[in-house]
Amino acid sequence: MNASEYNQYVKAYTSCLYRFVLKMVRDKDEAKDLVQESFVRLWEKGKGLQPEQIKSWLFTTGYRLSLAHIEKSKKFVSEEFLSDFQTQAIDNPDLKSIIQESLLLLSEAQKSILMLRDYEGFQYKEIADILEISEESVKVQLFRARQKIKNHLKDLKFVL
Amino acid sequence: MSVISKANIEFWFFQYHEGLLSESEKAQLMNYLYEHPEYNEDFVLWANTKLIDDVAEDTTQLEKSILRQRGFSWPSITWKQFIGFSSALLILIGAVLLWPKDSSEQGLAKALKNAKIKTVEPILVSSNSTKENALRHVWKNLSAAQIEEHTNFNELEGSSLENHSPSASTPESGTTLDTKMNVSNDNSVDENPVASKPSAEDATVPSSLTFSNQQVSKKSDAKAGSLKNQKQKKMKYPKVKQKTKLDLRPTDEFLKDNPDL
Repeated sequence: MNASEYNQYVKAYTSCLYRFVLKMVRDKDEAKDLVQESFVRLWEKGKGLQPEQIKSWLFTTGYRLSLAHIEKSKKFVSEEFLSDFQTQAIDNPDLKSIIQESLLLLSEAQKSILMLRDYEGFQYKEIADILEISEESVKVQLFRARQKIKNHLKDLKFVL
Repeated sequence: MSVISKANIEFWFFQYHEGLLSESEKAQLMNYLYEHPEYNEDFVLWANTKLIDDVAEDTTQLEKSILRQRGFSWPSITWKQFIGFSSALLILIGAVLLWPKDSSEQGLAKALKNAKIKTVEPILVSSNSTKENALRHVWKNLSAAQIEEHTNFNELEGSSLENHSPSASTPESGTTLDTKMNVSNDNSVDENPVASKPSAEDATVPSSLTFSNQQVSKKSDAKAGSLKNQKQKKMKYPKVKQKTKLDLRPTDEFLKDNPDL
């Protein structure tokens, strides 16, 4: 991987990686730092990677960095925050915003799988490689994530 | 695939929206929904569980930041800047490589020690020459480096030169410059018009001076020997008064011969 190829990867994957990391850490500045760190590691350690491996490698790195950051900063979703979110969702019953904010209901793994699947279009096998879990586990976690969102939507519909 | 039931209907919905069902399985699910319309709402809700791309934030600045961080802005560097930087680097490397490693007196003494030593004929100074002429001859035989770095004027007192009689005309009694060392040095040029001129490869570098004065000869011989000594670390050259004051007062004999004065 030379400098020109690296530049191409930066332009191709910065946006999607930033979106993925931002959903994980919920802080724009932190997300930008983590994306930068991911690309730094790509340059330092990704010399032997094939072009088709670059994207999943970047997301794997971004996922690990995000998890480490969450663990470090202890940014857990509090009950108070969840109640605020639900009130806000009812006040603004836009399907798009509800679905986006329903990510808060999911575990980190479920959220990551959902984003990798819906935003980036990764296959189960690729998601399994990125998150270092089995393909079957990806499928089960994805089912549970969507089920939670569906139930949340159903509950909001009854409230409205 | 198992038969659709209330227990697994949601997994069937999930697989349908994930595109994991075959055509026959899709038909089977549609038939089930037709027979159980109470699941139609759930079927639609499952269709809305996909995340919608909501991030429209411009990441151009982030991309530039990443590229700057790694220093991959090569296209922005002009050829002039590149050539200038390369030239400066080459000059720096050249200066480092060509810089004398040991320019001190010890370094010169070491170089002289390792140099090929030859003995040449003494340099004669004509009887009519004055003390200044003698010094001028000596001066011409010294290389520029020696003059600048290794000339020591503290040893040979001017009085020793003053003891020399300018009337001496023979080589034995006349003022001589004994160049006992001939060092291969392309930078030094022997311009002595009296002595046999060495070849350009063997330019003469005098290391000592020999005058008719016995005291000066001893000092010169001592210096020639000291150069051969490896332990000698500092070359010493005779000190010469740069400005010789001539005593122009008339002598008593002269006053007797010229009473008019």
